Amino acid sequence: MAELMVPADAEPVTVSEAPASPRRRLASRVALVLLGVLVLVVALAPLLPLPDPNDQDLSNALREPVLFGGTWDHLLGTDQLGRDMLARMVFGARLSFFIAVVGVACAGVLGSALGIAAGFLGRSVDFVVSRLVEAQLALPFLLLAVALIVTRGQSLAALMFVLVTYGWAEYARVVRAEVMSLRGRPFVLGLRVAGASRLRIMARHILPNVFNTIFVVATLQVGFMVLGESALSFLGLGVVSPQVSWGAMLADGRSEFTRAWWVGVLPGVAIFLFVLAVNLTGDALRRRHDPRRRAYT
Amino acid sequence: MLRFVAVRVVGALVTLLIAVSLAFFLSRLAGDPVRNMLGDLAPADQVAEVRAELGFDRPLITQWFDYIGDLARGDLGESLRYGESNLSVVADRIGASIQLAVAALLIAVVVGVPVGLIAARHEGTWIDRALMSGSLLGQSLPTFWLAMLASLIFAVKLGWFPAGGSGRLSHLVLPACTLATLPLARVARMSRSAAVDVLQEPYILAAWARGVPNRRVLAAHVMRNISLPVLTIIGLQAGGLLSGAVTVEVVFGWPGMGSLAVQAVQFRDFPLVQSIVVVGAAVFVGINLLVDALCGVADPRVRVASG
Repeated sequence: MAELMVPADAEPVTVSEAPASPRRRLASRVALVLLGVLVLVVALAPLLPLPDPNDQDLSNALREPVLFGGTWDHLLGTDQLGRDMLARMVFGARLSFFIAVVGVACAGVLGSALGIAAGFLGRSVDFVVSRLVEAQLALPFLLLAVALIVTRGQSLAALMFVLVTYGWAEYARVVRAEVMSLRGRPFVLGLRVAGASRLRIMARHILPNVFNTIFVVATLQVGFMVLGESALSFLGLGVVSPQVSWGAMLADGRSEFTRAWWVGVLPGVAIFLFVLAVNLTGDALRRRHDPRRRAYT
Repeated sequence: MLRFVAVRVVGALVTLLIAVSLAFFLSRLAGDPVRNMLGDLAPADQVAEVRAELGFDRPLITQWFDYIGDLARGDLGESLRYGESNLSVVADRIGASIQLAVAALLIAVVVGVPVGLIAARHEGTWIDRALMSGSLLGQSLPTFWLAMLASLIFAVKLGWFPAGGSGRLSHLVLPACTLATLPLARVARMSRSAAVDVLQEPYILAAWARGVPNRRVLAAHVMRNISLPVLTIIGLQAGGLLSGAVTVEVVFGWPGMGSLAVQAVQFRDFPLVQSIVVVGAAVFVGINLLVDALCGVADPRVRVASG
């Protein structure tokens, strides 16, 4: 009687398992291909038949892209100084990528080292690093950037300094948490008993174990670095002419926006697509490496 | 509850102190503000004079003690350009910034939470996928570019809203909507993943089984239980909001702290910039303190665990 209230074959309520749905896998594959093509183009940029990105030709200023009434000479049109947009996009990508990759690498090394030290050594090291991370995260990125650039002046080095200063905290936070869960594992205790030094355990045994995590954070930070660089360059505090980056192009495009939309729209589309591709890849990596999160987000 | 709040307040003050010191040392490490103010061609004796005048010739640690001491007394120094106290210069602008940030946050929460709930309710269907793809797009857009596009389309071409300025409600629409995009996307994602968890709980099934209307289940049981992670993410968004506001304010000519900061850099107004950073950090810490307190109100378990 009573036991028949629930049919015997009722499906148990389960959390939706997500061995990544085919559609989702497709999205992250498309993203990977897009990133691959971009990296290839950027790497081969000097070999491509592109005009010099700083070649001015005022008689050819503000030509439309080819699909909007322009000519094949300038596939993506020209900007207000007659510079070829396609060439500027490609060479702009070079600098944007360079900044992002170096920024991510430097921040990653610094932040991971501090995170591992804090998580493994605990006590006062952990206390200091944790307070520093909290404090760093309390400083809004662009405001801190402005404060550093006002004392340092504007340069590529200043831009890198700002991005690394801001980026390390996220690694330290995530890596610390991960290391704390590793610290008590039997293999670590075994190594301690065997007489391995702390430095050796951290470098040779803890680091390889948190490398996946570091890699996932790094992927997600690439997007942040590109957005940060573009915001600073847009404000006129980042990359300066004659160097080209996507953000610097956007700053140029702003003054011409009502007359020639493509000068401002194209670099924005590039940033958007690139960051989207990076985020999709990062999400896929996170799902793969973090079983706890596999079911959601 | 009192003890809980007191512990949090002390913690927040410590964080703020370290954050301010970090900004102080980092900006001194980065370079020489006086050199940068006067340019490379300035004669050495003039540089030395200005350094002495601003007190930069003293040991860094002494400067830091003085700086923190002044801060504790509420003295943020004097702006080089405006010739009045930084505090009053910032105070003139902070109202507009708060207005913009609150409007953006309201949009993010009022739209983001229901979007997350709807996605969670339809988990795995096309509705869920469409909404979450939308939020991923929102997270990948450069805020200032969105602001440029919005001003081109809705202000210049269509003429629905003014392209810049402030004062009336219509001035607020475009800046607030563009600034809201990123926090909205994050809030929606967080609401969804929290709600997916909560919807599996036995008490939700029990409520449904008892025939409690769907809307009431969501409003009374799900909302209350996802409020913790959602509140936390809102607090963390405050930093991004203060940051994003800089570019949005510049694009729309909004007279807030962000556009003040950019002008201050152009005038090499080093003390003013530093004050803006201090105020920004204080706002961030304050908001997160408020969020902590609200979490304590929303969920008694938090009070017990850390009280």
